Amino acid sequence: MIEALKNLERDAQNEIAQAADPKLLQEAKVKYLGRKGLFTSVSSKISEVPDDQKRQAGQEINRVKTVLEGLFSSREKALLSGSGASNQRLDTTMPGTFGLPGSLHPLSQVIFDISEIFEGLGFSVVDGPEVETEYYNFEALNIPLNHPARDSFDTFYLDNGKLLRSQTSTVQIRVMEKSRPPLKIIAPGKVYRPDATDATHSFMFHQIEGLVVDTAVSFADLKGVLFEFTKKFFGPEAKIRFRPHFFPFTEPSAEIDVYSPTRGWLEILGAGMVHPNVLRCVKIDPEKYTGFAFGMGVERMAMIQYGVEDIRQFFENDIRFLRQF
Amino acid sequence: MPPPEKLAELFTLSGTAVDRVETKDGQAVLDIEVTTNRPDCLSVLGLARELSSLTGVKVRLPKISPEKNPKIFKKTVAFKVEVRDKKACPFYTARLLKNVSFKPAPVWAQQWIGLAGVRPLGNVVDATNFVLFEMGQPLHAFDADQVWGGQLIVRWAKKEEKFLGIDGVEYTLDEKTFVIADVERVLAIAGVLGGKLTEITPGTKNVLLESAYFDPQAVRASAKRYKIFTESGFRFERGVDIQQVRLASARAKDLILEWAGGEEAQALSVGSVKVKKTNIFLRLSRIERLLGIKISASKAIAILKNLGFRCKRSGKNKIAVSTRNARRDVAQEADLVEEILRLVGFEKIPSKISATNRSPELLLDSKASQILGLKKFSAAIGFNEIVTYSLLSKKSLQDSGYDLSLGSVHRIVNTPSAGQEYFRPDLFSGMLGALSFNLHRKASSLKFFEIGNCCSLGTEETMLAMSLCGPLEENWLKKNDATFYDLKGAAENMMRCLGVTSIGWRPSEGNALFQDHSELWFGQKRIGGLGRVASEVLRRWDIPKDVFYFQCSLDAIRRQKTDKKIHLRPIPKFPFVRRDIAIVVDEKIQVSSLEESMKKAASPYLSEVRLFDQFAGKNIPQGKRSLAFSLAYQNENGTFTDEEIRKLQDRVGEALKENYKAEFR
Repeated sequence: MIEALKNLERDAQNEIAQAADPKLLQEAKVKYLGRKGLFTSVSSKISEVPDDQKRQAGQEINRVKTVLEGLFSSREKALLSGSGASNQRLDTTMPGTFGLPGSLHPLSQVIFDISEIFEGLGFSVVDGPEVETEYYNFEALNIPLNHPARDSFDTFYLDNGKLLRSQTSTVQIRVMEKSRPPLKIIAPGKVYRPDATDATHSFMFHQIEGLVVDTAVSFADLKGVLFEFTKKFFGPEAKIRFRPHFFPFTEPSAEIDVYSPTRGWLEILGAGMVHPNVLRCVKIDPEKYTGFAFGMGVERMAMIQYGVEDIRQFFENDIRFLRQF
Repeated sequence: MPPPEKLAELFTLSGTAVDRVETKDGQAVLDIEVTTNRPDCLSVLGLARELSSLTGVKVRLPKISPEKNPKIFKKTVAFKVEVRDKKACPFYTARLLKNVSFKPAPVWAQQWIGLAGVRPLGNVVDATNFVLFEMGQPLHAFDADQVWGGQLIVRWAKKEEKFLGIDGVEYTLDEKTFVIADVERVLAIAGVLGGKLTEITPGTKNVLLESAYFDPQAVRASAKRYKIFTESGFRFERGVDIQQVRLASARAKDLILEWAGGEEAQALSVGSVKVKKTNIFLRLSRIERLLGIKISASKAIAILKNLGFRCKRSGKNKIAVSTRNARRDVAQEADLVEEILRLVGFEKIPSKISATNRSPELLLDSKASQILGLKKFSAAIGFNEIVTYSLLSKKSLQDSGYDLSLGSVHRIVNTPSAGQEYFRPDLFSGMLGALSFNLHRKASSLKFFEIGNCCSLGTEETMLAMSLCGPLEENWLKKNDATFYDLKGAAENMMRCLGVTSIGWRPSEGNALFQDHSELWFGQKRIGGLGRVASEVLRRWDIPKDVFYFQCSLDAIRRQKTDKKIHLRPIPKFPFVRRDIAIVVDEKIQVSSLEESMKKAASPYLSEVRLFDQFAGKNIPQGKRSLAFSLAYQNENGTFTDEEIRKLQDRVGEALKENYKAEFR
């Protein structure tokens, strides 16, 4: 009999738990605890129990009854109040409520992607100041005063005689002054040029500068590094071509175009072997060491990467723009 | 000659980039970007020479009649030229052409200079422009009868000397302007702009044709100072070929006599065209070292000869190369290596991935990676990164409450635009601008952060700014507006991300930009602050909602911080005991002082004090608030008895009562 009671208790527990609304629960209650219910029918069999076990069976009948009454009553309360019950049915189609993540600015994202590629090639990421001196922005980079080469580097000057760097190449000099070769760095950052602003020009933009100086660095290494980079950034199918160009701080110099099937050749990088005058300026012996340097515009890369048509969108900070990244 | 598109590609791939090929009047016109190191390519002839080196096609030079014997000129008509600064003008020539007749140049010539972008101005001037584009030597034609005293004087201008330009503008010159004058008046700014007084007009009979070499820096300085851009100035400031000065003059003379009639009455020159030639030594080993490929001596010599350089072997592994005046950009060994690379072709250079060394010292410079980590963390906890302009208008700074008269904010002295007058002293204006922009486009729930460099009083610092505006989250369950404490929590999380643990907040008064402002301290330094932006500031930015703003200097943190090293504290062997305490105190009493007082009272056992409720209003006397804390007691060496806990809790209660007149609920 005790065995039967235990089975009944277990079955009732299951049904109580599964009863999804008060009506079902009531039916279950009638089924088990009703006047003609299962409990009555089982407990009435006490007369058939041997005398020496009657006391134990009686105790069990009372216990099971208390337990079941308790369960029915608490389940009933839970169903009626509609809360606090872990078995309540949820509308699982309602939206999640955990706080949404924010976003990295697309320019940060591109800087990060590019930095990661170069870090994988053994470069260290460094930074430098935006407020600079004539020396770092021009002289040390082999751009003499009163030279037409300065025209490509129109510059904002501050009231304290300093200027806003017009290219991240300033970091080359700062790094080479502080540390001796081997050097293998990239330096992302903001640069400023008093340009009229339109869809493709901005007076403030970002560049990433790269510099490698060591005892046996040649143009072939430059080519290898940039090939590797463009393949990783634009995909293994990317085609690139080198064109000779002029930069005062590199010799030989080149511009590098990447081929996009939809947009043709895109000019994305300037590069070259570090000019011996630049090395001499930071007291690195150009006979002992050679190096290469390169620079690229971050906005341009981001525009290509994400299909942004107007450079000004990067600085408007429209939340509908930002949330897409 | 290759077809135009092929030509464009040849030029582009050898470093003289062709921006576009247009067809005008049935002729192909190449728009070429000539880099500043290649002034020799600023002419048709120069480009032809370049093309000849690339293709082997021979250059056909124009026929120029030989110079006449000077003795044939009559001395009586002699003009004189005086050059007062041989450094600024080492070589000056002038020809007197008499009895010319002003009329249009031949149609083909008008069209030709038209394609180059210059308006036809009659046969004489057109001839000078024709030669400028053909040979790259700028020339100037004076009306000889308007030159007073029969004399040209090449000199520096006097202070405040007046000059009427051919553009009709009267210029007031200074002593750093190099000019051509007659005995009384300035007739031209040397190499930059001709003058109205001696302009060639339909009435001009006699022409004085100038061809000279002017110092690039002198020309550039004038062009910059008076903001005059001319084809002539553009070439002089890059440097013309002094050895072509006389030849170009002869070419122009031929054209003028052909198109305008007349005769050459005098040719004179001052100075010399002597140029110093030096040898550059090119080592074959250096080529290999810089380019990564071996080039034989004979190949290198062939390439350089093709480019017009005279060279010969010098010893086994060296080539002596004589400099060329037309290619003054080739001045050292690396320049020759570039020439070789250009002609060999970049595609011949192998692409090498070698295990070049890392920068051992720089691996430790972690600022960039730390900032990146911080950016990612901010994004992960719900903030959108913004990038705002570092240059600000006066108005936006004033709207943000800055007093610009203090001079701590740096002004841009040469700004072309009103929006770019100052370099940002911090990130506040940019943030308010971004919030305002979005709120006016119906955005709500804005959570922004920016990390960027700022500068005030000459010190540049990398700063972090964060702001909250509108609901913290927008969903069906949670929609409460963000509070001061939300941003405070976010800021504290950012500090944790930076590994900064020992920060302190100090309430601050008297900050006009904020209501409810708290300063963030790290060690003995104030590194930032947090507050609700003052309604006055918000009104000026037209922001209709509360804005909470946090800003701190990341450089200040970096300077203070010693490397975070985690040293594990042992997990307590015995369980802690938690007790709550609820008190009613004067609302002005700060929670931080209550916490301190409690910790002190139950030291060293009170391991944690956590505020879990604040209540004011119903049943709480006016001017007071009810606060409830959860306290955790921890004994490292054993368990507490109930009695011990009761005693500790009593001590805490006593301290609050005594120090803050706390009442217990």
